[in-house]
Amino acid sequence: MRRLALLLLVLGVGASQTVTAQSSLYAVVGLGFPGRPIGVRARGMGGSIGAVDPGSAVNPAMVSQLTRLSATVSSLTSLRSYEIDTLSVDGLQDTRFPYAALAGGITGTPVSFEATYTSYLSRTWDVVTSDTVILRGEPVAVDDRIRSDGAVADLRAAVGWFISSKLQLGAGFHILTGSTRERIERDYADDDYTPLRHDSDVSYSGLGWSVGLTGQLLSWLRMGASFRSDGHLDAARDSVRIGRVDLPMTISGGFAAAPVPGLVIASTVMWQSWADAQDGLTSIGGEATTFNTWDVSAGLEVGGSVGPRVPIRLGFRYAQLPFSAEDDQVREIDLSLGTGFRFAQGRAAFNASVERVSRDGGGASEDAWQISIGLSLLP
Amino acid sequence: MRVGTLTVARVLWTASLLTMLVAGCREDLTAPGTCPEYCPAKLIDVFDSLFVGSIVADSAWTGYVAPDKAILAQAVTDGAAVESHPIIRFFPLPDSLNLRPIASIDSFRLDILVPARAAVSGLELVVHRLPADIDSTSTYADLEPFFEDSTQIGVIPLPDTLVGGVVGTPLPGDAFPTLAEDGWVATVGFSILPGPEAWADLATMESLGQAVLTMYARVVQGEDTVEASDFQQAAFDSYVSVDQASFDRDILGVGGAPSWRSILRVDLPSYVVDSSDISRATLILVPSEPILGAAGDTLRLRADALIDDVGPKSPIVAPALGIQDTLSVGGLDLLVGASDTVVIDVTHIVKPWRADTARPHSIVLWMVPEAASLGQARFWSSRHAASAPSLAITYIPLFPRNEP
Repeated sequence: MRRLALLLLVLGVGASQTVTAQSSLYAVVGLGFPGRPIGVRARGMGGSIGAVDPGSAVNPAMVSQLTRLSATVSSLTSLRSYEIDTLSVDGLQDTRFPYAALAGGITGTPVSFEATYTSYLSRTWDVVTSDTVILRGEPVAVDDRIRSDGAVADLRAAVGWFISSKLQLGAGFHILTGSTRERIERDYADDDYTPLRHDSDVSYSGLGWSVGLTGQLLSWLRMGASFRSDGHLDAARDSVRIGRVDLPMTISGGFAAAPVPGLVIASTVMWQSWADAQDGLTSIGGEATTFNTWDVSAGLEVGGSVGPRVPIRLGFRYAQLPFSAEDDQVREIDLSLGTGFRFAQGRAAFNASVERVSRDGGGASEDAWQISIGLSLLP
Repeated sequence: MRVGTLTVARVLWTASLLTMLVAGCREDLTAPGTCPEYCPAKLIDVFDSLFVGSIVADSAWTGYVAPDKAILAQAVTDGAAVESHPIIRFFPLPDSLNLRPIASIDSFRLDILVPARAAVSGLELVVHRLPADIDSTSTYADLEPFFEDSTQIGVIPLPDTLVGGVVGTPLPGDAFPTLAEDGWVATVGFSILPGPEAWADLATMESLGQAVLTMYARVVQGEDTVEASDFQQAAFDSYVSVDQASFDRDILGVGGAPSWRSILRVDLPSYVVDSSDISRATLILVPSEPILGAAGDTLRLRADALIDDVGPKSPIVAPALGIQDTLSVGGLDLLVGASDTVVIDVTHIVKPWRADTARPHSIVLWMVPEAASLGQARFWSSRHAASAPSLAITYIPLFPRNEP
């Protein structure tokens, strides 16, 4: 009971925060900025271990590896700057909680379960603009501010079946849910015009499913693959339905190899059919061009169980973003560094990563430092 | 050695965690946007539209405030289209002072408060003696014979430097020769000089700035007489004026005395009233004739909302202690004699209709202060199609047009 209470406490801390993903300049475009269903360890490796990482929510078959009761939460702090044409902005900062999980095995069976929260789409932004509009034949200066705070979250319930060391299967059921509080403000330089302040709540809902398999094909090699279908996303503004948009299929695969003790090399490739979202996009996300996306990552981990007690993780990632303000698809390159350690007789673990993210395309560019911290408890 | 490495790592981890917690308390998302590419889809579109025919019903009503209940009484020169004479009846003066019989009256002093006046040099208020029985039923025709030289008992000069303040004049002891027979009731009326552009506003009892009449007398004390004085305030004040020409049902009258109000019923599309934020709304009124009133005077026209539209007795949503008027929202100064189209702000009336669906879509036009003068505006009503009232609305749809 004490262990369970501790787990609930840890999860409760995470749930009490604003559970949205990091913001980005590109969150303004289309449906928002896609989240990554990976833990801090995987982030430190550029996401390369995602397809075969029990600490990530990419492949439901990896749930089969979670035979002990465990709980994980993570935070992500983003320090951003961006450029659009001659406009250069820096000093942007926000902290979010993009990943949480509760997992365990069912005693006496080869089945494990996991419930995860991950960010699916970030729709958090705060944009100010100044302009001059012609009203009643006269130019009037205006200052606008449009804010959105919230995200679409991916709540996954998954089970994994440990058939043998060479084959494990898994399946997940996904509930996509969330809301954004949107506020638009306008102030006129001319006092004859009254300022605008309007709040609205937009809620999102959708369902999805995923299946996956993985196996220890060789003593030093694990491979995994998964397929996911997310159906569609419904949106309602102040309880009035405003639109529906198709969500992508996701196909991913990857491996983790340990050719020598104390060294893990991993890679994951993911493809998503985000172009399916083009129809109906305008009703929710406005005008944007959608693209299918590739996400390719590679990384390594040195140390840990063998060698240095504190492992060093390195990663590289190339990804495409699904929404662009122009016909030019946005690209992202990440370089990551991570580490972690266990304590409390191995019952708890801290993980951390630092990512240098460069995004470019769609007439803009963005750079960010992303610092992640994760806490896992295995009571 | 390994233990030492781990200890250092834990210290670093703890420091990092604390740093993250502190840093996480700060959030700075606000950034300038570059539109339209990197602005949110929900852009702020503003529209300007003139809604002709949006006033679907209107009517004018009178009798709200009578001249004797107004906070001002206006004196306008003889012969003007709105000639008027303030009149005052004082409370009875005492027939003795401190139980000492009055032997003789030496003089009187009349003091009045003048809040506003014409920008004319050499203004003079001429004081006339009136019959003691004046009241709210007294008419211009009844009292016009008393505004002549034979009844003149004093003159109050209004200094050219006077913007607003108390002025007064001494009156002779025989200014009210029938004072005792009249029960010691003194009454006065005012004319104003010189010229056709002369006018002045006198404060009344309703504004707590009523006139004061002081009596200076000699009273019997023993076998001698000594000086003594006493004063009285106005018991009744009003003004009498020439009748104004009436107007027909195609006209919306506002102001005058007794005061007129006009109520306009509005029908705007639901996409404006219910689904948009109104940045500015103005009511456009076309005068059917030049603004009536004393030459050079200005009238304060107000547009306000109604709590409920029950016809002529509809209660008005009171301006918040004049704050709205100070901000020029819903109020407009009309220059007497002008015939230009009147554009008055009604944003404060129309904007709340989206949130307060119970509020009637009606606008009342009235003058403030009511019945303080004969000044009156007359506008074409909705029954006069060519010059009917209309609304100009600047609005922002709150839902993108691609949303249902």
